Amino acid sequence: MNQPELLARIENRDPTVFKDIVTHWQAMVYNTALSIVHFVEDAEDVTQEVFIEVYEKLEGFRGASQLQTWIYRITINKALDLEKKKKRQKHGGLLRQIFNTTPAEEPVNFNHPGAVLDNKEKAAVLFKALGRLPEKQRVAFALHKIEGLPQQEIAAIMEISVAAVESLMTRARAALKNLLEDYYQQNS
Amino acid sequence: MKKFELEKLVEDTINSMDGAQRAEPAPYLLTRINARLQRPAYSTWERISMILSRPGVAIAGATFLIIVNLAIFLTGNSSQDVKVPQSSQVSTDVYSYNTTSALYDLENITP
Repeated sequence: MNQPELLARIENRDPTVFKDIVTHWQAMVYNTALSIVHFVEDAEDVTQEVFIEVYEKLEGFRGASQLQTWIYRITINKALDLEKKKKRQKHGGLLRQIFNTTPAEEPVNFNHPGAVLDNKEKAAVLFKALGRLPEKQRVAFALHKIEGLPQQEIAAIMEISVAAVESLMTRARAALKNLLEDYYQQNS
Repeated sequence: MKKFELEKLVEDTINSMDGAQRAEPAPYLLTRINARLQRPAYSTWERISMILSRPGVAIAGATFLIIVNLAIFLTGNSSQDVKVPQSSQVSTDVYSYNTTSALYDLENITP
């Protein structure tokens, strides 16, 4: 989508612009949310929340960043917020979280609907391992490997430098390697 | 499992989402978003009552009130032996009240 044209339509309060934005970016938003929250229903909720925020803040959007970057940023924030909320509810409150009395949560088995048939099983193992990575590493990995974004765009979305993205990716790969090696050694 | 086999398996797993297709959301997403947007916004009081009715907030509020009440009760008990000034004491003699009531005098049963 052409950004200057979109901005002009937003400025002119074109009633069809929101519909076009949803149609154009819904798969991107849903896919990104799904790679973070790992539940279809949650990803749909996040997608709705994202577009509601886009609708509410669209008039204030002045094109400081690409519209796509802005939408990605909202998606990641919403998905991580939902994930934190669910973890808090699951752990039974703030106190238990502070004193960390519960063991680390076991990530769920998640089958990504877009994974190639031959790779479905491996992708499920990958998502399980991804669930154990720190937040930033997970986001950087998901944006790069699942969304296929270049490091420059990931840097813009996460509001960090390209070098920082590179570092996150290296650490994510190393952590995944360790986790996957342990997993396959235990399950062979 | 041999080391090179394990390394290959790990590498294949890391790259298992290569060539994956984007997952598509359920149909009628726009309709559902529009329905959410047309839902009337909550008023300030409704929002406040929603926050207060959350179990965590309600329990925390109730606990706070109980603690405040206990604190007031305990500090009140310790300061009960405050002496009333002499001049304000009222003698029952002043009013000449008969402290025994015939109505409740069980020994005096004659009318």
